[in-house]
Amino acid sequence: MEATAKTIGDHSPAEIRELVRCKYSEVARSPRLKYKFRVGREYALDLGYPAQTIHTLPERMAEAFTGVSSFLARFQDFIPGDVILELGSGGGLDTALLAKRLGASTKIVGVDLSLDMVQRAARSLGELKLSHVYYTQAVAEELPVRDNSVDWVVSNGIFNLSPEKERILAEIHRVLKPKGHVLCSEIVLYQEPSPEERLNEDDWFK
Amino acid sequence: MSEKSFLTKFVEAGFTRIEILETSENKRTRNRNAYVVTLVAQKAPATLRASLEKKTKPVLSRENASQVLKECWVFPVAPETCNLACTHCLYAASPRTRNPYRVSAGELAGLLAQTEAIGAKPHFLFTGGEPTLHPELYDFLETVDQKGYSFQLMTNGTRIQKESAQRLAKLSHLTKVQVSLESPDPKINDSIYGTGLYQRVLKAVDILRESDVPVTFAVTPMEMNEDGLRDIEALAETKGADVKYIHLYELGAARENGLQPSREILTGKGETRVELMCDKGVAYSEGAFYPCPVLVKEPVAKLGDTLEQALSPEARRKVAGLQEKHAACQVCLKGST
Repeated sequence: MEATAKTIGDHSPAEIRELVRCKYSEVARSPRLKYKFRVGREYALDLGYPAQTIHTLPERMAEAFTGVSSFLARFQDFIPGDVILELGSGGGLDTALLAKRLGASTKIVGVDLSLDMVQRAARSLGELKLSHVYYTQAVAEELPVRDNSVDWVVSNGIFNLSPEKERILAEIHRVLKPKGHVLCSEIVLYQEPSPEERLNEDDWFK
Repeated sequence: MSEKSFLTKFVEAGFTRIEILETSENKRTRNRNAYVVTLVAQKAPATLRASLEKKTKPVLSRENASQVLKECWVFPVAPETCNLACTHCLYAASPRTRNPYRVSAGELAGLLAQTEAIGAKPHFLFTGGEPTLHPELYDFLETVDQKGYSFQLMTNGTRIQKESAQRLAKLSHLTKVQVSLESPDPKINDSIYGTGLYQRVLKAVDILRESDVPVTFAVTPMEMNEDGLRDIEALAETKGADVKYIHLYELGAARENGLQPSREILTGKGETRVELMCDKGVAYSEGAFYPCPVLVKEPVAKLGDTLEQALSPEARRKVAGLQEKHAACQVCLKGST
């Protein structure tokens, strides 16, 4: 993050979203630069993504990986025919792994707030010949998805980046079919941060 | 954001069956105060959502108590004092427990004076423990009746005799006697209550009905009695009784015995209204006030020794805090009582 006189407490939610968007676009364009959070293939392997399946995907998918858990890729409760919406699909690693495992009867839509990330993920689709995966640029607080239309909403580390978590949950609730499910992996804290920590922009990505 | 506040956001957004599937190390950043949780949750059915939205309406406080205080639960004996030892009892009550506490006539008078002082006219629910183990119970019921409060008695039925039934029949503000029964199958019922209890309970029901006392069966749907639950309403009908379904709380004996609630969703006659007990009432047990009858053996839930204290802003904040984190509260929030 660029040094700035403002701290996070001075920013509106929309401004924070722009900062996050810029940061992740930077990751999409230059995943090998040094960031305050871990990015890439080694990190994915460390979280337990199986090397042999990652190898079957274009290298750029894992290269921009920024999730927090490998749970989504291991999760077994999806059934063929499910419509799955992934929030913060990033480089597309989880989406692609799910799409390959679940087959063409499943429809998977990945959204990410960074257009660079979406383009990066979409580039890999052609190579994988996965016609049942779609990527689009959108923010989780305002989804371009119809009411009651999705069986699963999944995410891998997005809530910690949004100051409007309630809006995201309201959107997830809106787009899910009745009795639809949400599966999220998320970073949480043992102790709530102090007001000072909360206002320190430097801590935002820690 | 802590795990607790993350989960609370899902409850508030209208999700149910929230379950943590995995917790793992935070490898993304160097923050030692952080870890990773993976959770699954389900979009709640519309009826349950309506009940969650209802929660935003004004809840009990000192200012609105005259209107909002609708229920006062009273434990004439301590919650663990009982002549039975049911496997699902949330207080682990049994004949072996030795708690000498009994509500005194003076205490009851004080309780009535306190409700009068705030201008409330709550419905009194005499429960336990087994309330009929209190030697002056029927005198107490007559006192409450004479004051014009509506009330009900919750009992296991084993100590109801013809004479006591006739005394109950004379009380004009008694709305019902709620008798616990877990199954129309004596074998299943008695595996929960003890040998011969099915016959004894039904005999009590007959005695009460002969005196025209309204009776409701209280049923706790669990895995062990879910076969045959459907028939309990038919049995109730032949006895001229209603059915009330009660949630299983994983406290006391239910927790020790590892009992699981039934997966079937049942609604008794006229029991579709969903409101939290703690938003409309208080419980009085062993000389102190609590948010509800479920939490009377939880020291953290104690709200004070007077009704005034139990309605104070501090006490109401405590109730709101419990709603967020106490496992028993989650049972109510998921669809209640």
